[in-house]
Amino acid sequence: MVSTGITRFGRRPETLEALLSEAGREALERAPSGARPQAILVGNMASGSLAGIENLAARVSDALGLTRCPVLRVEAASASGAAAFQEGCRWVEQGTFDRVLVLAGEKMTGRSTPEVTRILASSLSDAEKTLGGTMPSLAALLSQLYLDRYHVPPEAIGAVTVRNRAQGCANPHAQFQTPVTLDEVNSSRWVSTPLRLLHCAAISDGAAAVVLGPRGTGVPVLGYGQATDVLDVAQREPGIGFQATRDAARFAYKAARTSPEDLDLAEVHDAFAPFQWMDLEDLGLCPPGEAPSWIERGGGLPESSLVVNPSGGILSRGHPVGASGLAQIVEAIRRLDPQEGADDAGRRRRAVCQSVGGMGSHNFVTVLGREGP
Amino acid sequence: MIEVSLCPSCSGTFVPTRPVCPRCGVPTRREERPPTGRILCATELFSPAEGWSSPHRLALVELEEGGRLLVRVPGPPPQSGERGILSRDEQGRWVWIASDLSEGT
Repeated sequence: MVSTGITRFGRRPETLEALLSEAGREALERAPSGARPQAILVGNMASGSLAGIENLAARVSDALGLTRCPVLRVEAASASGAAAFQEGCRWVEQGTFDRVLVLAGEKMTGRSTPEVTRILASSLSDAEKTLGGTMPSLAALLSQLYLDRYHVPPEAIGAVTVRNRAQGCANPHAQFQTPVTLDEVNSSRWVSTPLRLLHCAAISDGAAAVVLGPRGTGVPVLGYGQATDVLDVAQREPGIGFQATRDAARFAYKAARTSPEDLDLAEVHDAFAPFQWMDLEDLGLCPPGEAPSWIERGGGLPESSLVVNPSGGILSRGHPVGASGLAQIVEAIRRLDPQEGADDAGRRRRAVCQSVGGMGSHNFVTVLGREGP
Repeated sequence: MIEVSLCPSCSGTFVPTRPVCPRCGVPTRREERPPTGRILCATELFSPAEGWSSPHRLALVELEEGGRLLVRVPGPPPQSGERGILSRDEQGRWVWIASDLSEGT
């Protein structure tokens, strides 16, 4: 990686192209040599439905003044940003291009909440949609399975939100930069039992960007993996969490020649607070069923050997769905690279970023950081 | 009865039916199962999808003879582990219609 860019997330008046251009320009301006990218990838889930525009990659190359290079949009539901990043890595590794600009973004706040709910549910199975299933209701069912399996009280979910919102206070790009108390979380309105409003990521606008360069420039990408699972949640192998994360992590760790014990930073997909428990366990960072007590004991705090969602996660940053997977990677790079200027930059040496597409049907895991033991 | 698809390779059971196993890619065969099962978990959705009223209740059900499916719950919210019977609504969608089945029913 050579350089990064990211917009403020939240309700933004700009168009999707403008947000992507803002992030892209920042990344290009921060690139040491300022060299023009040879290709552009754009991660996005639903620009047609959410923002009313298609042909997104060409639009963005036009807005950036980069119309002569190859461009492509990449879609993997709410993991589109991570998918675009991994595809960009492949292009550079295979020698197709020396320098690739990876962008990811979404514009959601122009639609009403019911419209956004319907559009996001379009990534679910037909059977689930026919029954009135939505992303929050299926997340609620998976969360309830976790609570029942490990005898965790539902009130414990709030600790994830409180933690991530506290960490998000230091993130100037986050939609929410204020803390919340456990009482505020546990008295927020129900969305879908056992999930309350403050357990769920917010509808948001935003974009992120990374310039990828040849090996030896910037923070190395050590390994990455992706995996799919059966679309219909009920038809998957019985279990807790996401098999697609476990499979993607296995591929990524093998490619990176690393193991969970070697990681000291994790940006995980906390679009619904209990997902953070599942993610940590799926990634092998916590034993099964132990993530809630690990977090309550202070695991994952900035002073810990493994810091989790130091950016505040999706619960703080907001969830412009196509952007989130790349935003995680930008946040991780800025903490790994002493040149990036974050307060804690350079203290961490190896990071994992995990992104969930759909309701866990297409997940991505990326390992970044210093090579060697 | 409820129709399920069985994978001859991985023994996966799928409801609604599907012609090919999503895990193995091999053709499935169809069987019928009694529409009885137990609640794995349930939720009450207070921000339902367009066209549904609040609260909208959904549950994951495990059939007694194997297979899991998502169903709508028109009645009060069921508890995890509760046993009951599935029926179809006027649109042919599976709904959880009864609970409090005693052991052996």
